[in-house]
Amino acid sequence: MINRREFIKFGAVGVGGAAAARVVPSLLDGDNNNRSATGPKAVSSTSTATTPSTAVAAEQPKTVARSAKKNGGQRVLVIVDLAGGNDGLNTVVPINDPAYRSLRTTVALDPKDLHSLGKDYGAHPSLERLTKRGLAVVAGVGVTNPEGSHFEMARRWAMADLDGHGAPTTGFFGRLADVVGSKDAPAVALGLGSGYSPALVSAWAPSINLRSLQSAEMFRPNRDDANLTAFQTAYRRMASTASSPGASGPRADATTGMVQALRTAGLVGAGDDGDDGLPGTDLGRSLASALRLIRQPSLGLRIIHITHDGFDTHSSAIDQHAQRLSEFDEAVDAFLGAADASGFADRVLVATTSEFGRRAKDNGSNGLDHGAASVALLAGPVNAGVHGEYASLTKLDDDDNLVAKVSMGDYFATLSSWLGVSPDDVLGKGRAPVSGVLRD
Amino acid sequence: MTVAATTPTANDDRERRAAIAHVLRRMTFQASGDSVDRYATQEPSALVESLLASSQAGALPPSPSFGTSDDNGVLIKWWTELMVSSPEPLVERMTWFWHGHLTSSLGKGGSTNMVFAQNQLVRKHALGNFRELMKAITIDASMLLWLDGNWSVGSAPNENYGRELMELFTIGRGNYSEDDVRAAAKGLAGYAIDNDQVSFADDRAFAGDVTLFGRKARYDANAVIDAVVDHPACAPFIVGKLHRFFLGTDPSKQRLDELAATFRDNDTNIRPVVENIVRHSSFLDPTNRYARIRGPVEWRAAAQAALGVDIEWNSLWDFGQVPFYPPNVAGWPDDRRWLAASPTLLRAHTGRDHSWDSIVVETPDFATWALRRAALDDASASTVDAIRGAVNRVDERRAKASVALALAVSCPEFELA
Repeated sequence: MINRREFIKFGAVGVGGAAAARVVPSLLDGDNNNRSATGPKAVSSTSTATTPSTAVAAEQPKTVARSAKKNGGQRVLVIVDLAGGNDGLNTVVPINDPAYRSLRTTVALDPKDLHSLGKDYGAHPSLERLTKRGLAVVAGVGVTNPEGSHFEMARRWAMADLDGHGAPTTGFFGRLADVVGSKDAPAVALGLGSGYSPALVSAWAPSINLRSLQSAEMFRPNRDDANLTAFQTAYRRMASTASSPGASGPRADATTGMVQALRTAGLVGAGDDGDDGLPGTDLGRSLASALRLIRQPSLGLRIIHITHDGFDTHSSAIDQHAQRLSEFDEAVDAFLGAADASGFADRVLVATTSEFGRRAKDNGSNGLDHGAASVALLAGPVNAGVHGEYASLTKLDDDDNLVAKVSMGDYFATLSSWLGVSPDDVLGKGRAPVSGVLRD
Repeated sequence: MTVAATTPTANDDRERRAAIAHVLRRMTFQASGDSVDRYATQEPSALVESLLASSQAGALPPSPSFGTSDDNGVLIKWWTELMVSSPEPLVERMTWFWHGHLTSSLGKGGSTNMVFAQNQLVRKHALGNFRELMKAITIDASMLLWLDGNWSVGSAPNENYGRELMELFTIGRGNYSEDDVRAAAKGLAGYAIDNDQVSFADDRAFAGDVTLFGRKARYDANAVIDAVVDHPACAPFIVGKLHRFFLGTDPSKQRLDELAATFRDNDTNIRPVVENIVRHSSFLDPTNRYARIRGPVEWRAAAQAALGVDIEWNSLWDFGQVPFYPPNVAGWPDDRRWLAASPTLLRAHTGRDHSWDSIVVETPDFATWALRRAALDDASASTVDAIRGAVNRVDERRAKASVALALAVSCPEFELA
C-alpha cells in the first residue's frame, strides 16, 4: 500500500542521497583493498573508473588507510537482531507528543523514568548504560508496504528486500561480506544465537553460523579427557579418509561438511575462555564469543550477527520489553567497555535490526500487536541522539500502524558505509546513509 | 527372486541387514538396529510390500493431550513421537512430505487446534488423491491464515495463495502468468474464518468470469484446483518431487514420463506413484544407498533409536527444522544446508552429549555393535576403522560403548539415508 506521496518521498531521499552515498565507500576504500581477491563482481560500480564519483574516490583512500592503520585493524559491524518485532514507541518515547498517552492506555512509560535523548525524546528506563555511553537512534525506520507476518518481514530485513517484490538470493549482511571479504579471511561473517541466519547468506564469502560456540569447543584439544580425545581423533579420521579428490554427491558432501565443521571448530574453538566481564545471558555470552573472535586477526572477521529474541510482546509488554532491553543494555555496554579496554572501541559499531515495530495503539490487554515502523539503535563511534525522522503518532496507515519516515534501505546504507561499502553495491541504486549518525 | 539354498554367510547376513535398513531409512522414520533385527528374515522387496500394505491411513491416530500452557510444544512432541512409533510408518513419512510441500506454520497458520487439524487432513490424504488433497487444503483454516485466503474478497482478492498454489504446490515457475495468478485469486475469494470455523459467502466471492490458462469461465475454488491439477505441468512437478523424496535424485526423463503417466492414468492418486517408485529396481539398487541427505527431524529420530535415549525435540530449534514451524511457505530446503559446518558440529555435539547415558553391553567388538544399533551394517571401512581406533583408546566398558555410539551417529553415513 504505497501511496503516491510516500513513493515520491522515498524516491527523493534516494536520489538526493545518491551522490553522498558514492563518496562514502571511497572514504574507506583502504579498508577494502583486498577486494580484488573476491572474484564475484559485487563491487563493480565503485571500481568503475569513469564515473565522476570515482574522481572523488581517488583522492580519499589514503586518509582512510592511515586511520585504519592507526586503529590497528579493520572495522567491525555487530548486528543485534531484536527478533519478534521491537516496540519503537517505548524504546524511544516522544515525550512531548500528547498522542503517546492516548494511544498507550495500558502500555505507557512514565516520562520521569526515561533517560533523556534531547528535549523531545526519552530512552527506555532499561537503556540507562547505553544512554550514558552515547546512544544513537535512527527514528522512523521501516518499509514502504509493510506486512504483519514475522516471516515475511524478517525475510525482507534479512535480504534487504526493500519493497517486498525483490527476490534477493543472498542476505544483506552476506552481500556486505562478499564485498569486504578476502580469500585470506577464513571467517568474514559470524552468526551467533540462531544457528542459521538468512541475513548472512553470501555468494562466496566464508561465514560461520553457530547457535553458540559450545558445539565447536568440543573439538578443542583436551589431553585430560581420554574419551573426548578418542572421539576427536576418530572424527578427524572419518572426515579425512572418507573424502577423495573429485568425489561428488552426498557422500562427498557429508565428509566435506565434516571437514568444514572441523575447520570452523579450529577457527572459533581456539583462544581463551574469558568472558571479559560480560554478563552470563545468551546475548552476553554471544558478545563475549564475538570479542574473542575479533581479537583473532587471522579470521578476518568483519560482520557479526546475533539474534536477541523475545520482542513479540502481545501481552505483558511492559515487563517483557523492559527485561529484553535490560539484557541488551547490560550486554552491549559491557561489550563496548571490553572493546575499549582492548583498544579497539573506535572500530566496533553495534547496530540493531528488527522485523517490525509494534502497533501504535495497545491492544487493551497489556500487549502490543504487530506493527510497522520502529526505531534502530546504534552504539559505538556514533553521534548520540535521535536521527532520521520520528514517525507521526497521528497520521497512521490503514492498519493503524506507524508510517516509516526512513527507508530500511537508507538505514542499511548507513551500516554499509560503516564498512566502506557503497550502498549501490549491496542495496541497488538510490540508497543513502542517514546523515549524522556515524562519527566522522 | 532367487534365494540361495546354502547357509547364509556373514556377508549375506550383513548385506541383507543393510538392504533392510535402506528400505526403513527411505520409507519410515524407524530405521534402527532393533527394526532391522525385526525384519532381517524378510526379503527387502517383501518389506517394501508390507510397509505399503500396512499404511492405509484408515484410522487417524489419537489426538495429543492439549490444555497445557505449551500446546504447540505438545503438538510437536506428539508428532515426532508418532513418527517413530506409528504402526503405519509410511503414512507418517508421506505426511511429513506433504507438510513440507503444503506447509502451514504455528507462527502464522493459526491456533494449535487448527494446525493439528491440518496435520490430520494431510495424513488422511497422504497416500490418497492429490486433487482431493488440494481441494481440502485450499480451504483448510490453517492454510487460509498462512497464505491469506482468510477474508480475501472478490472485490480485493489476496494473491498470496493463488501464486503459491501454482508456483510451489502444483505446476512450478514458468508455467503461469501474473494474469493467471490474479484470475486464480478471484476464483479463490470468499472464504473467511469466523470463530475458528471456515465459512464461505457468495457476496464475498468474485462475481463474474475470469480467464485462467486461456479459458474464460466462472471459477470457484474447486474449479481453480481442477484447472491447476489438470495443467500438463502438474503431474511431472509432483512426481518429480516424490522421486526426489524417496531416492534423493531427479528422475531420468524416461522415469519422469513413466511416473507422470502413472499419476494421470490413476486419476491423480498418490499411492500408485509411490508404489511405482519404491517397486522400481532403482529403489533397492545398492549403488543408490546413502544418496539422500538426512534432515534434522529424520536424524534425531534415527539418533535416538541408535543411542537408546531421548533427544529433546527442543534441540530441533538449534538445527533449524521444527515441525509446524517451516522457515517459509516453501517448507524446508531439501539440500546440502544440513551438511554445513554448524549442523554438522551440532550433530557431533548432540550425539556425544547423549551417548554417556545410553546402554552398556559386554561385546568383543564395540564398533560393530554400535554401527548395528545405528542400522549401518554396511558402513565404510574407514568409518569402522576410525570407531575401532577410538574404542581401543579408552579403557572401561561404558567409555567404549559411549564413544562408539557417539561416533556411529556422527559418521558420514549416518548423515545420509
